[in-house]
Amino acid sequence: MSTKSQNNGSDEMGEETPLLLAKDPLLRVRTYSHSSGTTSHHSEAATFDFRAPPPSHVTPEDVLQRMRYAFRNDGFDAENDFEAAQSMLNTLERSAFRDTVLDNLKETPMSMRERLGLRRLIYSKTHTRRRREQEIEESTTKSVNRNYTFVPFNLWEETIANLSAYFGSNVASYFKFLRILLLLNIAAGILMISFITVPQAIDGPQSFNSSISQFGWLSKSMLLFGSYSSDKINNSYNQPLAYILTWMGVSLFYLIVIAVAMHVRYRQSKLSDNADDYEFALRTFSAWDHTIYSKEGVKDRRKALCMELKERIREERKARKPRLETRLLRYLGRIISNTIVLGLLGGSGYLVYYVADEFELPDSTPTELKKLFDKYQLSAVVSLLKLFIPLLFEFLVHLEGWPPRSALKITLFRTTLFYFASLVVFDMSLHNVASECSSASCSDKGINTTEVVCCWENRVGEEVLKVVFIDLGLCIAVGLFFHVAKALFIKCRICCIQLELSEFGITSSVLDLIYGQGLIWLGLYFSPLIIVIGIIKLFVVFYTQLFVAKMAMVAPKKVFRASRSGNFYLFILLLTWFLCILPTAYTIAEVSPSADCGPFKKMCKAYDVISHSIGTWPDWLEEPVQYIGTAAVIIPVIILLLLVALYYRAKSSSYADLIKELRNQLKFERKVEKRKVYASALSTPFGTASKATGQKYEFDVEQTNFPIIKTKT
Amino acid sequence: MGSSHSVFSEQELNDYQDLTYFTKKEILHVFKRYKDLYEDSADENTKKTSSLNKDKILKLPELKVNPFSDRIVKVFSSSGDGNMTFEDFLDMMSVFSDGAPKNVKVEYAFRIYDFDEDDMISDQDLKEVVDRLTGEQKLSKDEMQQLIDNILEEADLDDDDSLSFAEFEHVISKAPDFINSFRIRL
Repeated sequence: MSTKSQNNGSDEMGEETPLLLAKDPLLRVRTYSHSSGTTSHHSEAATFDFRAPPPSHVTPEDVLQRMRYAFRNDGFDAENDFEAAQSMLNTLERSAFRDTVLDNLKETPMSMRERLGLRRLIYSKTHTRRRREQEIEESTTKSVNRNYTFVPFNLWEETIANLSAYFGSNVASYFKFLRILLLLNIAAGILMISFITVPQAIDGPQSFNSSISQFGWLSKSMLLFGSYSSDKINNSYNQPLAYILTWMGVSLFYLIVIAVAMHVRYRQSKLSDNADDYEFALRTFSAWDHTIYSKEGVKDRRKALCMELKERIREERKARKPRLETRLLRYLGRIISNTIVLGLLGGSGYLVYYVADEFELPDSTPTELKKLFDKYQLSAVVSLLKLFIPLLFEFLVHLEGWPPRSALKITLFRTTLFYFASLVVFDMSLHNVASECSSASCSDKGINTTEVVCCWENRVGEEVLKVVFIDLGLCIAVGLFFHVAKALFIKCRICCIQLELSEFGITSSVLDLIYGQGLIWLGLYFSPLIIVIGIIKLFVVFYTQLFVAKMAMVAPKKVFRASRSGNFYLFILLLTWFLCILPTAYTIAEVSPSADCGPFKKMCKAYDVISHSIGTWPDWLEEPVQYIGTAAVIIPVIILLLLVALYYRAKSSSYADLIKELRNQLKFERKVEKRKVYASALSTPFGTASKATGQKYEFDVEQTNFPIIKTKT
Repeated sequence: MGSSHSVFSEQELNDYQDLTYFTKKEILHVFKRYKDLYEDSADENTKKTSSLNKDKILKLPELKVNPFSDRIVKVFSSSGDGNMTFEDFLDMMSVFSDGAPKNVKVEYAFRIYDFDEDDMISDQDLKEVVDRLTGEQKLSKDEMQQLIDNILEEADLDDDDSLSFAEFEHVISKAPDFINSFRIRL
């Protein structure tokens, strides 16, 4: 039913409306609505006047409006309307109008031929031949530039497009996220290398005595902290200052890029409503993925969609409260599994601590194994826990009887919590490693105790590198020996158990990527070249996942993602940044660097490098900077920032209220307007409304003062 | 690429570039794919201007198994019956490309889902959409009815039992994945 709320009821309702003619797409008929300014969306009950009114009726706004809804006006003749509107304007307005039309032309839903016609009409009038040629030249150079600037962002584009032919765009988004991380790391790596490593490489790595090195010659190379000199290189390049400033700069670079990306995405999504309110509609309208073009992909997708729809419908039906027993059982189950989850989290934390510090193999084990275990205990435990605990979480959530979508969200939440916890615990045990050989006070710097040469930053860097390597190894191993082997078993029908091909788990893969990035951030200060290792790792992970996905996995069965948008993953990335960079910042500020190696061996605290160089500034510059660092400035700044945040929060919640109110008003107005329109339609001779829309109407007079219409189709 | 380049004048390429979301290189690539659908050795210039039969267009691998392929082809064909000229084809690929903004895609999505072309998505249209989405395994009558009722309850703001463009756009604006999934890449 159309609403003509903008037209008053006394409009052309009295005339016959040859609807058939109006809807025939091949017959081009001029349609001019007599209310200029706003045309209603619905042409169904629109009235058409076939006498062409004088051209002065067509205003520029009319033309733009009709262009926007061109496919609803079958008889829209763009060129004539444009000329008619032009005739109304003076020269200045004409050029402005032309520019507006040209700008909007790309987005107008007219067919290409019509748009070309209009564009050529405009150009033929306004541009001389020479100016036209000039423009052609300009745009050729512009298009060449467009082709070249975004080459790095198109890395692997073909491969990903091929993959999404079967898997769809959800899985493709994981690979695109990987690509973005890779590019980010490459940019940061270039910064890091050019400011720290290259100057050191010119001079050669600084040698130092270290008896506690686990990677052999690699530990003494420029991979790790220890081989960076603490003096000026070539008497001009202040290496320690460069080291710390570059580290801070790179960290800030990461933060700024992530924050800007989040901001851009946030703006693109309208946050006023929860997508949960529109589940069914969204599942129907935006669920189909047009990037899928393989037959199996379409089949799998349809199956998955159908299952999800059925599940959701069933959930809806069961919305009545279940019996008391079931509910009690469910609550009991939830309490138990939450306790288990907390227990698992605490237990794994304690396990990491225990293994790092106190665990010793019994003496009967061979020394080789013991040495191996000593070397890799911490990293192995962390990585193995990361492998098994998320699986346990997934299993546990089945016991709780949540509806499927909540189950997904809860598992996601718990897995993320676990990853954070494991990073934190790993960090703390690293701190223990660090405190093994850092001196308590810095008064005994300069005394060279040659008996125990200690370089704790190197130790920490080595531990992080070990975890990175083991993580990579596990990823490849799980991919090959679990998924691919399972697929081989199924294909060769070796095993008699009913096995299924694994689904591609997007959430767990993305969380893995974020975890890996967190490790890189943890190790960045202690091992500048860990970024290069990270880049190589990302390459390997990409090709491994590609191979495993193509060979051994099926498309995910849950089509509707638990997280609302890619913003969730960016948010987790941001939190990981805080979790990993802040401990390092604490280390720099509080823990004294080792006395025998690294750029800061002469300092009491690593931060002193900066204070010393600020000390070399002229007084008038130094004093304000020193003043800024004191509490008298920092506390008011913090309070001010809090107040600003509060203000924006208040503003946004008042906007949300406004939106709700407007929406209700919209609903109300539609209903009230509809009654008014029908009332006025029926006040004209009986049967006009029926003739107009081809439907029968009945009166229902007794309910209110004016008749309410019941329609019968 | 040299031969295709000579089929279009600079001005034409410019016009196409300004009216679509493609660069010139991509436009020529689209033309190459369009030519290949002809399956005969007619002259390039005729291919540029003539209209390709619907069945041949539906043989494009990216469209072949798409459940909405016939609607897509019908919506974009300027003659309304599914036969597409190169310009229609270019238009279609431009709307489905990465560069097209959300509002353009929503516009055409509405037209594609509107099976009876009355500018409203009625419950018949909805039934057809759901049938196409689920394919061989259909929903039972009860489930279908419940689904349609739920959709209309969520999205239909003015209670007229069908979705207008404004209501449709309002719903799609909540979909985070729409712009990613409404894409075809040649």
